[in-house]
Amino acid sequence: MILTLQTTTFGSYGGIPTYNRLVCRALNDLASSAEKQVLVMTDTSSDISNHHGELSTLQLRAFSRKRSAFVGQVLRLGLTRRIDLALIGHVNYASLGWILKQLQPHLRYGVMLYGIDAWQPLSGLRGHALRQADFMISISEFTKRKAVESNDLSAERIHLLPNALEWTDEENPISRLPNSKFGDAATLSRAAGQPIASTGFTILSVCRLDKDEKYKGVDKVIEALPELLKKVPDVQYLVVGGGTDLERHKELARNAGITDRVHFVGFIEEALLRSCYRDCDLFVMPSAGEGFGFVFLEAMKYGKAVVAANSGGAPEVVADGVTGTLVEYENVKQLTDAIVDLASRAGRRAQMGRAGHARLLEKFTYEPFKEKFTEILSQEMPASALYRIRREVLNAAGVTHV
Amino acid sequence: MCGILGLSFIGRREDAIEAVQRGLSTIIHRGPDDSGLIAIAGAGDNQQVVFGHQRLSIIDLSIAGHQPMLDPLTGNWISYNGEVYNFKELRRELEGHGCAFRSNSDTEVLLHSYRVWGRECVKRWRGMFALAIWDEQRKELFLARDRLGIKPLYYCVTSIPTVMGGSNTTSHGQDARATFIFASELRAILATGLIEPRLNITGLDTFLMFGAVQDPLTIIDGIKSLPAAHTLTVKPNGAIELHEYWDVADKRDTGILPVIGVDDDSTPHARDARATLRDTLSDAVRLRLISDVPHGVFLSGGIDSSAIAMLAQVGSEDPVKTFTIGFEETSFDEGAQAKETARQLGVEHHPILLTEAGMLASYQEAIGALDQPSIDGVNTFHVSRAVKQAGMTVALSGLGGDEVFCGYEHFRTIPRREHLLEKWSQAPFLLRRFASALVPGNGSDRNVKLRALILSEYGFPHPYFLSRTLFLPNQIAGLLDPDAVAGIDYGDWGKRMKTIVNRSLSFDPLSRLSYLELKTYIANTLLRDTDVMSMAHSLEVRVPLLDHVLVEQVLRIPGTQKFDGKTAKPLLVSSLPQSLPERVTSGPKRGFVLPYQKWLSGSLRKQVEASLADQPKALSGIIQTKAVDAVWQSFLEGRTSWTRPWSLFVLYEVTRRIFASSEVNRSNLKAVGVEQRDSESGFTSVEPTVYSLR
Repeated sequence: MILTLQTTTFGSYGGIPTYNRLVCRALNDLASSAEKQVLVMTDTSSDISNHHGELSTLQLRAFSRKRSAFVGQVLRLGLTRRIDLALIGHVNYASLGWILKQLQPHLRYGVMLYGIDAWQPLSGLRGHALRQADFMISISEFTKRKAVESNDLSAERIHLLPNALEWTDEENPISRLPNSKFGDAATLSRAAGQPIASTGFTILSVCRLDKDEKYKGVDKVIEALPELLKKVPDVQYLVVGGGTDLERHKELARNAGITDRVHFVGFIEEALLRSCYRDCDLFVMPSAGEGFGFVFLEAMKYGKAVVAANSGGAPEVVADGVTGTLVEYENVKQLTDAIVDLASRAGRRAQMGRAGHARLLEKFTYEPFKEKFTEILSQEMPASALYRIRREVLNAAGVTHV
Repeated sequence: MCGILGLSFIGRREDAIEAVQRGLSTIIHRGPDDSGLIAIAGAGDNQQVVFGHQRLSIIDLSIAGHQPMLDPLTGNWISYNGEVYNFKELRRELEGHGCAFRSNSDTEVLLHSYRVWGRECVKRWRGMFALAIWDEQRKELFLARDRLGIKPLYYCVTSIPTVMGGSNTTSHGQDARATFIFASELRAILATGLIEPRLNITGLDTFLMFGAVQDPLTIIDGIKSLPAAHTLTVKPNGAIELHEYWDVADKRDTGILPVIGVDDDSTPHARDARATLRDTLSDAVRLRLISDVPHGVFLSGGIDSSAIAMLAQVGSEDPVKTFTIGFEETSFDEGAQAKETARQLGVEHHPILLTEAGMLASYQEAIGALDQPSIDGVNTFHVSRAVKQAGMTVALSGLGGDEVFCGYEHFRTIPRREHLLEKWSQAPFLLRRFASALVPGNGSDRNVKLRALILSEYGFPHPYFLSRTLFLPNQIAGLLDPDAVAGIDYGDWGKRMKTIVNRSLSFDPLSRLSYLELKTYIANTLLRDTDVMSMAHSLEVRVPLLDHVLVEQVLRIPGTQKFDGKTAKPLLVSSLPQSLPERVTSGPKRGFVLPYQKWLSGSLRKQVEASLADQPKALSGIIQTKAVDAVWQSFLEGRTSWTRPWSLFVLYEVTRRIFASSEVNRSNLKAVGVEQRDSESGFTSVEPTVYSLR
């Protein structure tokens, strides 16, 4: 059996759930007759209920944040069923992988490394379990490097498996002409609580604004705005997302006297979010610590040039000078220049957008993800397990005594 | 008894004829008495149908029995290998339908019966057969194989995927331009030069599982073995239909025979039943004594062969010749016993003494005769040669007696375990693992199997298969390269296993084992090896205990009547017209067993080590040499039996031969101007490359 433990999969948006969904899909498509169980800690039954059909080769179970039930089920499986491979979807669950291995020494377990959780030194059983893992899968080179440094891991045991974009619709990016209208300006204005101009040069950021994660760089964009206004008079800044640090950001805009140009629309419906990606002129997020930078993929899907910081996982997604511009983190001058440069050259922007779109298709869609995932699994599954699982077809030849 | 080969393809007639001639030249041993070849215009433009035949004359030795044979009324042609023993009865019946016969051969009877009864004719034939008929009216090619798979029939089709059918007819994709080839041996198909050999990974995998490739797979990609009791029709549009016309599991409720007990002759009902079985048994032997050439009986001194010798003698005025094989070096005592048994049975005893040196000198020849890798068969090779040299062309064998009449030890152990094991396999994994850890980890074959049994990880749908297992799943996983594992496709064979196991469930636990033996071990190991190894010496072996009427009756009798745990084969013994000598029924199990254990670590050691050290190219990237070395070490250290290293040695040697001759076959292709394709692209492709001649 291949056992997969995940935090949240179908219950929310964002990088990690997307990654988990891709893992589910790739597991489902795996040309193996192995039994595949996926236990999801925070999802509810209703979250997963719609997905049994499309993931028909998986046994999905949601635990609605009931930690004891989740752990209990892992232990039950460890005691009663043969497990060949355990994919531990978060460093916080690494100890469960270690416990399973104590029960079944032949088992191999791998831990997924996404971002900030894996960058810090982990202590206790969690750290031990991570160091003892048979292999790890990192979402980016950056995360891998950080995890190796802070947790004394051996880099050879870490596979790279970048996140990918799920195509939820058939839509291909249709870049609007520069300074054309914002399709849903009225709805967005309601969300922002202030009028948003349907024309003008619109830059977009999409991120969570939390006090614990102050590295997103939205504050730096706000800082750059007064200077920007001098060069791009019709610029406006749309910030999608919220959190505990939202008020500080609003405060920054007020202090700079540019509240009419910075629109905090909070968390919005997916369709509306898509229209923001579609209708903006430039996607900007000079974040210092993206484990991967999933939002950049969304921008690339819509053919948008990207301004990002030259740190974290962003450089692995954004090709500097090709699909966007990378600037030094916290360097407001560089950030301003980059935005001004791209605002003044519509042709260059469009070219970068097209290049970004092509890069997305080549590297960050489901097909390359599945290919890489399958390759990792075939490397990490014990040869005997691969063969035994094949033989299970014969074993399951339907013998039921009558 | 003969060798057959034929093909249907689009192209020049002379190319088709040359291809069949090349193929026939490799199976002359199957029939050195006569050779025939016929080219027929096929269905479409340029479609050539060519039938070839190598004849071993047994019935109607005259030229009238020449094959391929034409039915002048219909224009149908037949190329046939086998013996249909009830041909005289069938002939009388067909004469009633107005058929006129020109020969005394059974071949002509089959041709007429096809005309009169169509494809259903196979259901009337009692015996062993593998044949092809060209149906001139329908422009169809019809192939058939006997019920138990006594005579082999392989086929190859260029581009049409075939799927194993159940009892229903199945149709498949079609391509009228595809090349279709059939033959008695793989080597004949390969020698046509129309197929480039690639190793079939799944076929190889089943060889490692059981020591014999399991049908419908063969060791070569694209060549299939037509399973027992199947017919195959190639339609004019190229579509292929497989049809299973018989299964002993379907015959359980025909009501012919009431259930009887061994000691239960108290009712007229039971007496009738026993009389029916007695009659069937003596018919099965009597029918197999029909021949126009000298015949004898293999007599090992065990129950099966003694029973056959006795029944043969009962129906014969002259003494029946029996042949008992022994080693010159060690067989003095056994020889004396066999002589005494023969005297009591009233048969003419012919001891044949083989020398160990003689057999060692010809082991290469024996392996060369195998056609496909198999761990068995070498003893049949030597025995057959000796009997042939004694002037016989036909020999009766007790093959199948142990399986049909429940003679093996596993008839005691497996039925008892069956239910327990099924329950145990549901026990928590950790409990199974804990229990398996109690088995000593010395790596001996017995303990390794026991461990797999306790873990419920032997990879088969029924514990029976474990008793026939050569390498366990974990061991095969070590032997096969991981990339090769990815190329395994259990599709056709998996479905067949599933069907067999599901059908076996309608029997009681003991008869179920007989059924599983018939469908797997007997068909794929015993019968295939016996055919290829006896035919290597142009000797026809007949197997009365696998007469299908007998098998149908015996499998209907409750297992408890066949195995009582005290006496050996009580049902068989009590169904004989006279008592067998005491030493036959109560003595240890006899048979002719070669001392491989001694040979491999002694006289043959150097050759085996050299062979295993030089992996054939065709196996590179498929079999891991390190694992092969480990098996050899394990044998030398006494942890594993000779069967494991021997199987790998045979695999290496047979593969070497197949691919060495393929070089020759390919150079033949060049000679006739056939397009070549690079053969270095690996052996994982599922479909074979078949050349169409220009």
